[in-house]
Amino acid sequence: MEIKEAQELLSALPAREQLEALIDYGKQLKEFSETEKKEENKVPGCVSTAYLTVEVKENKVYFSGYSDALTIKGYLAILINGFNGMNVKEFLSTAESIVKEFITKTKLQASLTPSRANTLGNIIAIMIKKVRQQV
Amino acid sequence: MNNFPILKRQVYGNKLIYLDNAATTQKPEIVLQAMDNYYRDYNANVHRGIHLLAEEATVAYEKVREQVAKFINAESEEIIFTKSTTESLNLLAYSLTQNLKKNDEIILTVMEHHSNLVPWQQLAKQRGLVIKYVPIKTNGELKLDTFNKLLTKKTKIVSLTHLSNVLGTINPIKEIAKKVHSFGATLVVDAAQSVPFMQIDVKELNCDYLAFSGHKMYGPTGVGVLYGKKTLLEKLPPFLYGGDMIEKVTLKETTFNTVPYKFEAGTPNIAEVIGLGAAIKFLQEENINTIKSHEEELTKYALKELNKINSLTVYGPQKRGPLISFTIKNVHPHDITALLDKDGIASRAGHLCAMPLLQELNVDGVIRVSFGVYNTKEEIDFFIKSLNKAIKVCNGN
Repeated sequence: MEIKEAQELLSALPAREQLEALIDYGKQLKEFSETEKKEENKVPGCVSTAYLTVEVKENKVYFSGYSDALTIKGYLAILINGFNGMNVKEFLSTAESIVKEFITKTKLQASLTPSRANTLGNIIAIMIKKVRQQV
Repeated sequence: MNNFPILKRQVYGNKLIYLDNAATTQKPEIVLQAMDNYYRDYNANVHRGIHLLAEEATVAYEKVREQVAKFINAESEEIIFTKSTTESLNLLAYSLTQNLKKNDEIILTVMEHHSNLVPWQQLAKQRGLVIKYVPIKTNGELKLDTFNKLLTKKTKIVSLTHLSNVLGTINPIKEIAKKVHSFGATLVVDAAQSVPFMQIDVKELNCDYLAFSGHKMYGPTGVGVLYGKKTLLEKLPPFLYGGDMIEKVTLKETTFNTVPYKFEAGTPNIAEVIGLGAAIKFLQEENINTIKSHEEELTKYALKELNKINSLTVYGPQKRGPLISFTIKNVHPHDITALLDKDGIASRAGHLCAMPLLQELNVDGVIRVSFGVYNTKEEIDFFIKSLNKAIKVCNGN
């Protein structure tokens, strides 16, 4: 599913339903390898424990992620589903603005605590950093 | 309760149910008005100006010192205004450890808020002091038998919370004071959570120092109190230097003002101190013993209702202050608090500034609800309903 699709769906919902939908996304996040739950894969600055890995194959990005909080899992699911399979160049040039628009349109920042408001920003920053390290 | 304007607001279309009182309390009209009046009618610096406004501001500021003193049964020279409990405790950690020798010992407990742990830990590192920690029993009470063993001639300072911000445990300060003093050590009490909940009498507790914050007792943020026995404060070196805390300054040296002024460098938070005075008036009018009974009843009721939820674990003893921390099996605390928020319920989740205690409890985070003078049983019923709904959302497929 594209990020735009999730953005439209979430933007149309009132705060409570929006949060529940985010949790539902979280429940759909694919399993994450236990062996990858290590310090180097941790997402720093996140209030819950979250991990993120990236693989670049045939010039395309493939992410995996995990969090012990469903809301963070929800963010991860949206970003991972949205970006997986994207061309590296396209990812590096558009990812940040896509996420920025997602935050503005869904107003998810307003419905989460300040410490969490940065989470999405943290996750995408880590995603970009990890991809840059591999190319 | 009608005298708290903020409680009239709606949160996501719901009535606000504020259950985060251990973090900060809401402010009654009387506090808001007192601060507003100061800025509108007699805003001036204290202890300095020879004009009517400065005199009025000084009188109002000093009147609060007397109010605080009476409120905790101290003398007004024994009351120092700081910006928070944290600043009060930093002041003590800095000043009390100045004359200690290498390997002198400080006793803390594992249930301390970071504000009563990190300052001592840092100063101990700088000055080669040893910190020992009193552990807790499985019910969240202190292991006093271990404390008795830790207390030796090497112990110079014992600093602990009166009421744990995570467990709700109320520590037996009076009993601890006797033991601490029998070894000639100094007793510091973090009373941030207990002052808005129960009658504090520093003479009866016989603690040497006691710290608390205005914002947790229906007063404004930015004002804290440090009580110290006068004879001890006179010997204690100052923490901050600057205006108002001096007696005489030359280019070569400075002599310091008398207590409590030698600990109040610079222009203080005047409006906040005046707001604190109004908060004390509010607490006295409501009667602290009535507040205690009300909050105890709410806590007992909430405990009973929470214990009906199978997947839920409550931390801390049965007899406790007005707060309850808990976890829910396989559910992250932040998911629950985010869902409660959407029903208008303000609660708290995380490590509650007590990471070592949570490590001891073997959890990464907890959910905490804490009660204040304005909370009701109906609000607890709504909270329990919302909590059950949130658990279902998190556990459902």
